[in-house]
Amino acid sequence: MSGGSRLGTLRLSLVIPLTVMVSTLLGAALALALSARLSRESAFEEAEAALMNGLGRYQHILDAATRRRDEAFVEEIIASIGGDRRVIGAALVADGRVQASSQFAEVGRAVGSLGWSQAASAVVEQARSGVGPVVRRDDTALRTWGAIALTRDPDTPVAPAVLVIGFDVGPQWRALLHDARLAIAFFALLMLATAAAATLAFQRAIVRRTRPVLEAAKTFARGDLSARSGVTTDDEIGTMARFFDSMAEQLAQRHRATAEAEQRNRVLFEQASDPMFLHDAAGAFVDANPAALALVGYPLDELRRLGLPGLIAPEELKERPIRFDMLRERGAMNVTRTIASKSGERIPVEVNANVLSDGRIFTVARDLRPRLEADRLRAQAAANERLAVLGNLAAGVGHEINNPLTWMLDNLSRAAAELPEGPARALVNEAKAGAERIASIVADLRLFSREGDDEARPVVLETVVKTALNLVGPSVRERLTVRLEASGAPAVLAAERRLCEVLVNLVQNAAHAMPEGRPAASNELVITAAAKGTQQVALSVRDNGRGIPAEVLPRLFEPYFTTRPNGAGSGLGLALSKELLGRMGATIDVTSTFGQGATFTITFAAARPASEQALAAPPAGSGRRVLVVDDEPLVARVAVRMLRGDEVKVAAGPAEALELCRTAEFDVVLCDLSMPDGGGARLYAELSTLRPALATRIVFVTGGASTDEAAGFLARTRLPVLHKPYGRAELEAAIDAVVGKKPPA
Amino acid sequence: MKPLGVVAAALGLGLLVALGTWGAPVVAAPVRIGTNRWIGYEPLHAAAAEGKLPSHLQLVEYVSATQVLRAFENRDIDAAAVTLDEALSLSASTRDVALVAVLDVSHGGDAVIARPPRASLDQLAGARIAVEDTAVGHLMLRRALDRAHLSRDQVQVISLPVNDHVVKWDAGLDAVVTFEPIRSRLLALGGVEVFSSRDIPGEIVDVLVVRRSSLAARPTVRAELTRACFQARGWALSEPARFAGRAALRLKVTESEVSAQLEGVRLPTEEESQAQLRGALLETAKSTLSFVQGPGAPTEADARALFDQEGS
Repeated sequence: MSGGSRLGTLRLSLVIPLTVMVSTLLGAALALALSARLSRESAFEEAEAALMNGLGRYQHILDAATRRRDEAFVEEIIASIGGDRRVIGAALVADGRVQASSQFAEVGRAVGSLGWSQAASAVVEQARSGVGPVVRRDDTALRTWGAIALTRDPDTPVAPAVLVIGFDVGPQWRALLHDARLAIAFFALLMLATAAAATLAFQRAIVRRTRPVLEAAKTFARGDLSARSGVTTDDEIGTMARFFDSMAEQLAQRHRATAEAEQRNRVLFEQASDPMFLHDAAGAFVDANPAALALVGYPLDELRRLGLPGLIAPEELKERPIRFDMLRERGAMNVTRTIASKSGERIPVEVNANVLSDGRIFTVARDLRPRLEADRLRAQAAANERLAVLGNLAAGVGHEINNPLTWMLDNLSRAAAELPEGPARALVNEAKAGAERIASIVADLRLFSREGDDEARPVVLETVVKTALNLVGPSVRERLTVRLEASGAPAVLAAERRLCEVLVNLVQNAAHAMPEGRPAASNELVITAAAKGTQQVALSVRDNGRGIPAEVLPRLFEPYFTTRPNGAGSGLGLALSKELLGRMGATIDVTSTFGQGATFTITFAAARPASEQALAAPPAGSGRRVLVVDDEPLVARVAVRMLRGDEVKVAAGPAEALELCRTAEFDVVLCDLSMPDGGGARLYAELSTLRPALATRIVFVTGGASTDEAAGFLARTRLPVLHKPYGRAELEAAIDAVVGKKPPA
Repeated sequence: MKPLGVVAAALGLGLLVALGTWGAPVVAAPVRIGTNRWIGYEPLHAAAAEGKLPSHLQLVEYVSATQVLRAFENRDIDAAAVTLDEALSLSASTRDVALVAVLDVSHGGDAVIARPPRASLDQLAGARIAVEDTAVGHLMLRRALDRAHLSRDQVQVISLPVNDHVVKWDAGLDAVVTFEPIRSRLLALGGVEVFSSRDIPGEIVDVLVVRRSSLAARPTVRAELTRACFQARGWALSEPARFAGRAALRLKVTESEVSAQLEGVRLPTEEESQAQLRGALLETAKSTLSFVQGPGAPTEADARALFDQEGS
């Protein structure tokens, strides 16, 4: 308020006293101007009243004195009249001469010779007619003259004498004027003082009472929304203060609500799992929440430079440009878009864009991948469930089939060997082939049962590959010429069922990669397994199909990446394969020359280091001490036959086996899982105490694990499992996997 | 805003003070000097008629000394030309009175006029003698009786104001103790002067007194009055013919009679006046005290108060 003294912004506190002061001064000036006239008039009136009074009084006295002819008394009276301070002079005039006068020099002289004023002469002349007292003013000289005729003496014919008295009005006028002006000045001063005091008091009161409101308003304006005046008086100030406080409270509440809403929105924005973007009408990014930044992989500043069009996958943007115009028209849109993240990854998102009141666009982009993955997993789970039902059935049936099949095959083999070449031997061989086919089908079905788990255990790759080839189905097999070169490859650590899925996928992909119309004979699929160094085993699947374009190769294992026409593939196959292999400690790589096929290589950890296998594993039939435990004597006999050349002992159950173990040393135990008297589980448990080292060198044999309990047990032991009916090679691989294992310290 | 307010307030106050003082009478009220008709006072009147007195010194004419004293006591006048004994009376009654100057010393102006057939002092025994009831009157009577070796019991004393002396001259009076101009008028009516103040020189003195309160309000008054008195005396003595003309008008006598009356008084110079006021006059005043009788009569203390120059 430094400009408070400028005329245009005069404060009320100045205007009021100034107004009072100016009006007081104007009033005083007016009163003073009037006072001269009024007091002059008043002085004249007073003088005239006194004059009239005096004339009447002295008329009587002089009448009596003249009647007595007491000239001395008359003289004295006239002199005493002249002694009055107000009187200029008094005289008694008769016959035109002064008979007595307060100016002794005038006595006896003619009136005309005395130079009296016109007013004095006039009143004397007028009074002579005897009409009573006569008064006349001499305005310029500030005098008034009065005259009265004495009572005519009836005895004398002469005209009566006239008493004339002159009054000086000046002193009285000056006195009145002085008093009036003093009074005016006094009252003006009093008014000014009163006005000043009242103004001061008013101002102080106003200032004192408005100060809390002003202070509160200032504090409020500075941003402290808690500022209140707290004034609660009943006057206007109080009303104003209450209005202010109420307004401040409402503003503060609104501000708090806005701030809370803003904070809530900010928290929602920051914490939301859904990616959110804010960009202007042209697609320039303003803000993006952490989820959004995590999704696209760009920091915010880079995202701002990039803009919305730069975030959309270029190939999609070419086909479907961003329709800002349509968005503005509709106000909101729901579309599906593919984002190109900083790493180049394509991310399908469902975009929900809303135009805000300020024209900016708020976008929520939901990552569609989890949903697609969930969809896929759900579908897969459903399929698995169906297969599991089938597998459980098959496992149950298989168990019953496998045992007789074991000795049936063995017996058929021996019968064929002993029969001479001829129709009978051919028949036996056919029967043997049929039995082998049965065994194969049962074994494959077993994969879908709940048997086993995803735990990696020693697995013979050749077996798994064959299973996969069986599972791909005739439509795929018929398009390919498959060559398998896996025999002799060391056992690997793998989850058999998952590995099987991966291989089925690879074989199917290979079939799809073959050019249309090429004869099956030309569509080669070569599957080889071989040790890679001492620690690893590599399984390669090589086709001579169309091959993979170089630009696609780096992204081949990304989820949802597919080169097949829309709908023909989920794009998850290879990604899922990589994931599954990763879980079992294996890796998958691809090499390809476009137009010349592709080679997928899976690298496993060897079940037993190759060097150890080479050093420790005695050659088949090289005198290994083997304990075969089986309650089926026929099955046991098959094993004994296969292990001809080794030192084999047979036990019919766990108790017998433990007995033997107490007295003899074994390199390996081949144990049926399902037996009376506790079965393989009991033997494993007791051997773990009796011969802990031997407990780690058990190969379990099963006709198909029918119970979850059995499956769980096998998973815990992490020991190799042979499925009936098994061949010589499988038996050797399984024994290889455990022999040479160092007993736990 | 404060400076503007202060300036406005100051301007307002200044204007008010100016307005309040404007038109207030700056001319002091006139000093009114009361006199009665006496040749000793005529120089003042003559000078006033000639315009030789300051305008603020205003002479008020009274018929008798009694009127003058009353006016002084009533505060109608501020100064008065009175006899010494009258001054003492005023001092007794008001104490508000101070001596300014000795105006004249009677030297024949006061007289005892006998009415024929009585024509000498020794013929006054058994006479009816009119005297104004003043100290001067009684002093003159005492001194005349002493000279005639008469006691007061041997005469009949009638108290009569001086303005009645002429009127009652024919009403059975044998002698009148009076003074100019009545003395001249009675002599003209056939009266015989048997005793005068010339016989008792220096005993009858006229003075100018002033109200002490007037002196306090206006300290220059004493000097102004003194100057006026002695300037008037100087003028009157330097232009006797002109003075006589003026005085004759007021006194209602001829110019030669004015000159004759002037013979009856001595007009002292300012120095003589001052010398009298400083001492000699006090003794005269004290001897006068015995002639002022009655309740409230002046005392020596009143005399000293009258002469107290410091108190003024």
